[in-house]
Amino acid sequence: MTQKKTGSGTGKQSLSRRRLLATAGKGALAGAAAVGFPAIIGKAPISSAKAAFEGEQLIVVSWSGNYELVFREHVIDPFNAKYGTKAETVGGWDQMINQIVAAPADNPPYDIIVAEEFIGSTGLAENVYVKRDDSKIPNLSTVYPWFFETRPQTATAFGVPFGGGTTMLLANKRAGGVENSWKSLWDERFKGKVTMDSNAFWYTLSVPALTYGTGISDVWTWPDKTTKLIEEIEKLKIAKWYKDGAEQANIMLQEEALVAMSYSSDGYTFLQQAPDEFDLTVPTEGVAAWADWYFKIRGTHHSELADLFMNYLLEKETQDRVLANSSIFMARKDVAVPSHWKGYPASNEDYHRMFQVITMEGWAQLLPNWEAIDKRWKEAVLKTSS
Amino acid sequence: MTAVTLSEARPARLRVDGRLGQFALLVPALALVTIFFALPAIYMLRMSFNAHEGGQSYSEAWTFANYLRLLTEPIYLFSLGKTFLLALVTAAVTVVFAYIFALYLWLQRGWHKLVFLAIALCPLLISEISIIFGWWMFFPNNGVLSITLLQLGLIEDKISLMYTVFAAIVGLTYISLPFGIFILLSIFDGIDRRVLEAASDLGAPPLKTFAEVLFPLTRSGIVVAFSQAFVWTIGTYATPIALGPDSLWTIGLEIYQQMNTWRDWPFASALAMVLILLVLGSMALTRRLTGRDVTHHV
Repeated sequence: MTQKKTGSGTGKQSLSRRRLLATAGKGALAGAAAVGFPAIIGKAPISSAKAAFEGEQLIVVSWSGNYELVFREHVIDPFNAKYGTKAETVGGWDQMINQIVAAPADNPPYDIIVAEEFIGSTGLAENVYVKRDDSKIPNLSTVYPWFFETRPQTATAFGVPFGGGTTMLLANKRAGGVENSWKSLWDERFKGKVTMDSNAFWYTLSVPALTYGTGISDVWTWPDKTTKLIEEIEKLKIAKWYKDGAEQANIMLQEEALVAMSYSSDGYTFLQQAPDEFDLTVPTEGVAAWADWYFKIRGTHHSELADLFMNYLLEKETQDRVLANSSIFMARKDVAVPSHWKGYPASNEDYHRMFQVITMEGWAQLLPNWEAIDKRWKEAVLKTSS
Repeated sequence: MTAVTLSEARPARLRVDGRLGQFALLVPALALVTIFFALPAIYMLRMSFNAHEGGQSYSEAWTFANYLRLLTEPIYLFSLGKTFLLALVTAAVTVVFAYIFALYLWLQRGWHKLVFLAIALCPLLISEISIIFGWWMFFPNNGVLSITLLQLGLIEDKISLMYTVFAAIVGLTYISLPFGIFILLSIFDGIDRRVLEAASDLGAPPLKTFAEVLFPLTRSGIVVAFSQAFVWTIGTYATPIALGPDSLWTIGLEIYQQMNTWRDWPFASALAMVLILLVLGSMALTRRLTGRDVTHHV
């Protein structure tokens, strides 16, 4: 009896210890599954995702300037409010990849960065992106195929498309009767009253490529076609070449220039802040465009939160909010098009027709000739300066 | 006898301790300079001999191609020349204005001196970008200068001084001026004012007193202020880009573009090394021109 009791007692104790451990293990797994895992695949109830990621930091680089402001207000802040995270955005441009390469591989300065075709290519060459796990980005199915069709298969395995921007024609209404054509920049009336980007000159070269050339591929067909484009640029008289959005704004607001090749995000600021003074149009010849993809960086310590964020970028509410407050185009097919966006593309064919991209394949041809093009470009800047 | 030996030995031990002590005192500063300046400079020097190929920022190599490119491509020599000239002119203008301001400050006393000292400090309290935005409001067609001149009836039509070499030099001078003022003021403060009275008592007119007494006494300060303004200006790029004409691209901008836009780290490093050599040359020249007397004041 005593033995039985004892034996039984001992047996019960030992069993309960094992059971306890097993139950605890299963409980932990179940808890993690209930709290964290569904959040990772993007189907989580908000409460469980919030519990999993509350207080966690995430550093996302978006373009600087107006884009960054819109991104902070309409993506980062709502994301933090929804999940209780401490995501933040910092502005960045061509220095991003250098900063990542220079930092230790297991401790990058950013968790996610935005990149168009150029920075996308350089990041791929430096191997700084993490391959996408499609199972964690269910919203990917809502994206226009155009985003995947305009870059090489190998590149589409990384990052998520968010939207894109375009070049646009910006004109001061005081200029009077500016034709909705890139040819307006060559109009005799505006000699010495034109401004364009001297820094990202490939977009500047897209203007004569679409207007006088055979298409955007002229930009990277060095030397024959690219040289012809530069010669077209040399026929202009530039008030001042700008190197960033702030400089462009100053040149236009101070009326140093009356017409400009602008970018969708910068142009939208003019429309918002001085709608009676400026016209922003998509010229009849079409526009050069780029696609903004967000890439997870290798070595990030917040890999799961990064996946959640990348899926959040493609939520309908997120895409609608950003579109309502910008002139960029979005990745999702079912966005609510705001009234200020006239002629927003309605199909994948529209995307192909409207947006001419300096593709990654184009960059692959452009980069080996970089030094020669840069040298020739500098001569053009000198020739056209007022 | 023993006592004598001990007393002779003691100063010798102290001398050794003194040297060790002096060295120990130098160690923190040496460590800082080595870690934060010497090692990065050595790394940059090594980087300047690497190659740039295959879409990557650099590939390991030992080549003089970057230096050869710099010295044979007219576009980079042009950029180097422009930067050098801009730095020279800015340094000269800075020294002239800093000298006048410092002299005026030196001659003042009491609250008047304090007010002008505060004015001299002002540019140091504002970031370079904010200063640039200030000039953007001042120089253009619709800027403060143009509107004021128009309202005063001094001009008939709006004028713009934006995006001119003049605007760039004004912007650069404004930033380097406080440093020049305080360097020269420290020199002036080391001069006994009675020498001016003595010169006057001996019948020297003010101009002669300046040329033969004050100017020689402040020459070392002029050289140091010039050198400081030159070194600061030669490495800058934000102000010349924002205020100057398109043709005024400096070597600083070239380094930025080669590094970040083109991602050609070896060539950017070669350009930076040349810039460092220019700065070192300027410092060596300053040292030679000033001799030892400058260390008493600056």
